[in-house]
Amino acid sequence: MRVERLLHEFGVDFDVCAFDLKPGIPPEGLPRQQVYAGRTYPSGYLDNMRQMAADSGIEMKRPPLIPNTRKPHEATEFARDNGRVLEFHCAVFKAYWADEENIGDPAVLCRIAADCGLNGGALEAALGDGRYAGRIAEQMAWSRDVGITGVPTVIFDGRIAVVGAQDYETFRNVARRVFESRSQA
Amino acid sequence: MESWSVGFDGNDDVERHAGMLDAARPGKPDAARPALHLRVVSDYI
Repeated sequence: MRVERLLHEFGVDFDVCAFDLKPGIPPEGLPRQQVYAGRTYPSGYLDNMRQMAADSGIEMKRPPLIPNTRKPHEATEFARDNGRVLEFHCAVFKAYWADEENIGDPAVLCRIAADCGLNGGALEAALGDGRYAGRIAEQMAWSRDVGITGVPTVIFDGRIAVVGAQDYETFRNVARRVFESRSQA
Repeated sequence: MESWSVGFDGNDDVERHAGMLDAARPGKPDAARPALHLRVVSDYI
């Protein structure tokens, strides 16, 4: 994963912010064919996405279900509070895109959490009482307020944003420039 | 490569220092240097 490479090369304080890419998905999710009915992609678009994923060690498939991602985002906050946010974030992506799991299912999230060394039972309780729902709402509101319309958007030092799935060299170049601009400040 | 496309302070800051790119030091994290804050805005789908 590109963030992990940046972490090793530069030292990274990793932060995540929830975004609601598909508002209106019900809690049980919707079939992909229904959500993307009639959608066409530019030539090579999907192949490029798959290659980018492969470069990050993920065999990207096309999961048949589009889940509601509120619970995965809440679970990510639980992982943050318990010191495993990057591991959990990566594991949820893999579970969905490579293993085609229903990440909207709290039981799936609890199993992923346990695999990451987190307490699955404690996560189940947190998802049940909705204690992280407020944080997710705040993050989504922040994303809208600053004008983010696509994901992933990676923001460096709160100043520079890289939009879309880019190759590692792009992230690396921006990171280097951000460090240089620090020294000039 | 200018693939990055949005800056909350604008891209001017990056452009001003574009010539410094080759002088930047790649390699291992510098313990004395504050870590790069990276906020990843994403959805899982």
